[in-house]
Amino acid sequence: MWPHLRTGLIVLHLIAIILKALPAPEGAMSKRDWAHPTVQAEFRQWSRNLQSIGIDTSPTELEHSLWDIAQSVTTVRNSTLKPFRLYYRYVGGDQNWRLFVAPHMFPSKLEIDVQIDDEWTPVYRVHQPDQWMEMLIENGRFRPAIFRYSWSRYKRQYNRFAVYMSTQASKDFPTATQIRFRWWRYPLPSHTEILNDQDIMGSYHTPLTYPLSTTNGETP
Amino acid sequence: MTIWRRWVRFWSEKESGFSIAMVRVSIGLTLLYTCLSPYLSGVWQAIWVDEVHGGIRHYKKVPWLLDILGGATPSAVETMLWMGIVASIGLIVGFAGRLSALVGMIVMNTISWHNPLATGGHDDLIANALWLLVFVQNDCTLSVSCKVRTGRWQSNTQVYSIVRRLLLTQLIIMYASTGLQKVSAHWVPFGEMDAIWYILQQPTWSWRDHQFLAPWFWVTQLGTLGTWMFEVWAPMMWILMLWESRTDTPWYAPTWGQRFVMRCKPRTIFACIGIPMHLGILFTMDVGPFSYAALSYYWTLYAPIRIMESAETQYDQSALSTP
Repeated sequence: MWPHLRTGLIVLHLIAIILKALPAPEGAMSKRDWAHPTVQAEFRQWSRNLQSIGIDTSPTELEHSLWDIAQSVTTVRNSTLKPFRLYYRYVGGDQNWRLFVAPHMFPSKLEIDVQIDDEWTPVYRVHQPDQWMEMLIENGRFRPAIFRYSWSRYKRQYNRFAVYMSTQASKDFPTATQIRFRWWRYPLPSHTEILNDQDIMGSYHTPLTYPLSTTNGETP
Repeated sequence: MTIWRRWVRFWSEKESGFSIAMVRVSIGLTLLYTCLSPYLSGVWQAIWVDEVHGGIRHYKKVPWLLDILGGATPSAVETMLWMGIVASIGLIVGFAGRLSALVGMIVMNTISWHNPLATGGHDDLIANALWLLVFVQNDCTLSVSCKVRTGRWQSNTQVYSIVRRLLLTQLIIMYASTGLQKVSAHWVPFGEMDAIWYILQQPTWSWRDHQFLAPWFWVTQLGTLGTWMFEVWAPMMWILMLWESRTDTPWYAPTWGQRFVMRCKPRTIFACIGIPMHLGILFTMDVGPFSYAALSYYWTLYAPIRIMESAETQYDQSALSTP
C-alpha cells in the first residue's frame, strides 16, 4: 500500500511544481511596466521579426494582443494554482524562475551625494572602490532591492530606503547638510558603440533630497 | 505490468546514499553562506528588521516563524539566522540530517517571504532541495551520524532513489522554466543573440564594468546561444538521462537507441555545459548564492548503481524479466 501512496504523493508534488513553473506573466501585469522603454523596445523588435515572416502587426497591436493573452493566462493560472497555494507558501515547493528573461536595456545607476559647505560630494557610485554603504547596496542579498527601487512602481519602498540611508548619513557625515539620491538612466551601449568610443547619453530621474539635520529617524 | 505499477516500481528503487550525501553537504554550505553573509556584513538588520527597530521597511505581517519569535525585531531575525546556521552545520557534518533540512527549509522560506524585495530564485532553489532532503536519510553516509552508528565515515546503506531523481527533476524544471521565459528578441537564436552582452553591462548585477569584452562580443553571443539552448532543451536532456539510467539496471536489456544514448553520455554533456555556465555567472555577476545552489544539484547527475528494494521485488517478481 505504502509504495502506491508514496507514488501518488510524488505525482502530486510533480504536478504542483510543474504547474507553478510553467511560463507566466506573474508580477509583470502592470501597464506602467509595459510602458517602460525596455519593454517597448521588445515590442518593436518582435513586431519587426513577425513582419519579416509575413505577419503584419504593429508594436501597439502586438502589445494589445499580448496584454489580452496575458490576462487570460493569469486568470486560468490563478485558479489552477489555488489548491497548491499552501504547498508553495509553507514548504519548499515554490517555483519562480523568471531569471534574466530579457536584458534591461535602459538600466539606472544609483548615485548618492552629500552636501558639505554648499558643495555636492559624491559618496556612492557603482563599480567604484571604497564607496559609502557599499556593504549594503552591493550585498548580493540587497541587489534585487536596489534593482527594483529604480522602477516607478517601487517608489514608496525607494523613499523608505532613502530615509534609512539619510539616518545613516547624518551619523557618518556630521558636517553635511543634505543628502541627494538620484538615478542615472542610460541606454546600454552595444559592442560597436563601445569600440567606436561613442558617448552614452542618459538622464537623471527620481531625485530625492533630504536635509540631514531633520532625518534622524524621522520621515521627511 | 500496467503503467502505474511500472511507475510505482520506478519510484521504489534504491541506491547508494553517496549522491544524496554530497547534495546534503553542498546545499548545507550554500545555506551557511546564505545565512552567514548578511549576518557577518551586518546588513541583516537593514533588510529584515522593522523600521521601528532600525531597519528599512515596515512589516505589517511577518511569516509564522518570525511571528513566533516575536516579529521583525533584531533578536527574532538574529535567532532565525542562527537557526539557519546551526541547520547548515548539521547538514555539512551530517548530524540530524532530516531535522537540519527541515529547519533550514523553514528558515529559507521565511527569508523568501519576509522581504520579497530582497529575495531571488536562489532562495527557492535552496528551499526546494532542503524540502526534498527531509524525505531521505541524507546522513546515511559521509556523516557524523554514520560514524556514530557504524564506526566508519562511509556506509553502504541504501536510500530511495526518489529524492535524487526529484532533485534532478527540480533542476531541469528550473532550467526549462527560465529558458522558456527567455522570449526576449535578445535571447532567441534568430535575433542578435546579444542578451549576455547586455546583461553583463547591467550595473546592478555585475561585479565590474564588462565593456572590455567588446572586442570579444562573439564570445557573449556564443554564451547567449549556449545558455538558451541548454535551458530550453533541458527537458530533452532529462528524458535522455532517464533513458540512459534504465541501461544500468541489471535486469533491463537496452534497445539500440538506448545504447546509442549511453555512448553519447547525456549526463556528461549536461555537466560539461551547466557547470561552466554557473562558474561564468559566479565570476561575472553577483546574483547571491544562485550558482552555489544550482551546482549543489549537479551531484544528482551521478547515479549510483541501484538495487531493488526487496519488498518491491517480491511485490512484482515478474517485472524482473521484463525489459
